[in-house]
Amino acid sequence: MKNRELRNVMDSRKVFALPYIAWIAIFTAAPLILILLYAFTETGSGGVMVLTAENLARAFSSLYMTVFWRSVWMAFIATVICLLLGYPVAYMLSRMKPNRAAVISILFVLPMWMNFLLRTYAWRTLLDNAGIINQGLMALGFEPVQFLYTEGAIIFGLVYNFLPFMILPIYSVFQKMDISCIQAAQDLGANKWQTFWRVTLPLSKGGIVSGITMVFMPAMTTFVITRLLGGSHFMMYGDLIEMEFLLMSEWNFGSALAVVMLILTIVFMWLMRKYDKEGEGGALM
Amino acid sequence: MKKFFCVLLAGLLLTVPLCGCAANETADGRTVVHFLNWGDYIDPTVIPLFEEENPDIKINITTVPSNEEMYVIATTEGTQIDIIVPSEYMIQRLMLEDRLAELDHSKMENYKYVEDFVKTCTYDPTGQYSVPYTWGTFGLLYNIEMTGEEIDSWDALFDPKYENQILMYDSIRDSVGLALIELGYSINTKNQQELDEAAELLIEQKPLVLAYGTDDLRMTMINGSAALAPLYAGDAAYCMMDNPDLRYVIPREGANIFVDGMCILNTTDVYDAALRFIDFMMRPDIAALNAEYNCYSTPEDAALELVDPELLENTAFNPPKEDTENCEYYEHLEKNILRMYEDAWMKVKIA
Repeated sequence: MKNRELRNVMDSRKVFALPYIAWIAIFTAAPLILILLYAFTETGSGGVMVLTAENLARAFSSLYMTVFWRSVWMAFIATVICLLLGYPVAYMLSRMKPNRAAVISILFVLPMWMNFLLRTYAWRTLLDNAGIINQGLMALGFEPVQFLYTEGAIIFGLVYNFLPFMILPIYSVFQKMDISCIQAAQDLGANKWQTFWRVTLPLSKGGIVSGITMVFMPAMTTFVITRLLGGSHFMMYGDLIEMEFLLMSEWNFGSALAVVMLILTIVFMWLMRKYDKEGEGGALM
Repeated sequence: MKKFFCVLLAGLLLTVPLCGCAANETADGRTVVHFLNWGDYIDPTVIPLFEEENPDIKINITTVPSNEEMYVIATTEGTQIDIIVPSEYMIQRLMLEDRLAELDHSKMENYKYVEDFVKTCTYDPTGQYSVPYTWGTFGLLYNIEMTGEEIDSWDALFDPKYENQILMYDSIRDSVGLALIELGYSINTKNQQELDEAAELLIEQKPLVLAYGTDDLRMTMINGSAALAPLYAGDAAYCMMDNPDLRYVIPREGANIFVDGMCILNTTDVYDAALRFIDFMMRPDIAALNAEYNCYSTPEDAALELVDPELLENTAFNPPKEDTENCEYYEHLEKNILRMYEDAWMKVKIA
């Protein structure tokens, strides 16, 4: 009897989803609920939790929105640079012989095997005023350049860290792209530019959209790069949230900021998906 | 990220005492004393030495990265912790909340070595609840090669001629505090007007600052990438050993002075054993060992005679006595006052 029940359960295969459901419940749903709980409450006198919208109102005040828009702007620049650099690379990769492409794409992924923090630290010593790059410049007779602690250094750090996330999705779209579409365009008399603009680009839109999502969102929420390469001069939204939690011990307000971030993420994802769907009609960017 | 893991770790440590896994007695009948300490803050040979001399006691060390976490762990219901070494403002808070056990000076042979220093500790001038373990100042470290002159004032941090050679400490009370000192106010002010002025001064200073940081400032100062940085004396002493051009000064306007003191929680079950350990830590040879190990100054003159003479010459480790007279301790501030400090620093960071 029992055996049969077990078999029924096994048969339905739902049982295999259980670990996943538990995982989601513990590590995704529960923290989210906690964040929402913290965001909308305040610990009043005597340790009683009181419902309040004050945290959220404060999160939307101009002081904090400045940081928000600055983060959007920095992440936007980094994303654009990643796209401009990553797209041609992905295209070239897809046109290579499979063996070579595999080797080169591994080279792109290789740095990611190392911890991101370590790599960023490495850049610190490279870009330092007394670092290798500046020493080289001085040996060649140039004046040393202040690389570190500038806005440029942060953008550089963002592009460096997130570029693979732009290349890989676009590359995989190119790989799957039906070459006969391009050949057909060429046969029908389109020049190189027209072929690219009317066939290749629209067909790769899916990769571009997921690349942008994968670069923009983490760039926007990053918090170590600004500290290590930017010398904490320019605060980004991730720094703000981290600071509220760890430096200020303001869990309620920090959660409210996280909620604002979450709202942005949802809006952004929705926009991107909408774009992607419309794009399937084959219209131009 | 490091910070994140520290918090996580602290959380995990917090659960350990709650489980009751840590008992007061080992299997072989030794009394266990739980010592909540800062990381890397005791010479590793000290505990074995103590246990050798006191075979009936076992010391169990747990470490935390901040006073706030030390407070949480020490005051959580059911904690097994017996001894802590918080900074003076946290000692003050714990005293106000009546969480510390009185120290019986008659049972402490070595108390006499710290007696003079205790009198200067405004937070606990009779040493009733704490004995100083280390002390230091939050002063100015500078590279004399780069500044080209001796510096004795916080003014240098606001001087346009050092543009992009100035580092700032990224912490609320230390940074807002030094601006308050520069303006001639108390680092414990409760006056919004004064805090606003401090924030303004720090915002004005921002274009001159090369970078804000904490532990990473040490490296930047050692490799000579910046000329000036406000730093804790212990960190400064460490930098000076690696770069002979560096000088440490307690600015003439004054500075923050801090003490980390050993206290026994009144929730302890092993008061006598804990007291014996604290007494052992005050023994001059032990105090000297610890001072040499962690580079923070010792409150005992008797111990100073035993430390490496080279360290004694280090002005960060052993500043001239008269310089410290102008220094001020942090006081424990109520949450709403602290909030004013936080907002001031926030304004600076966002600007």
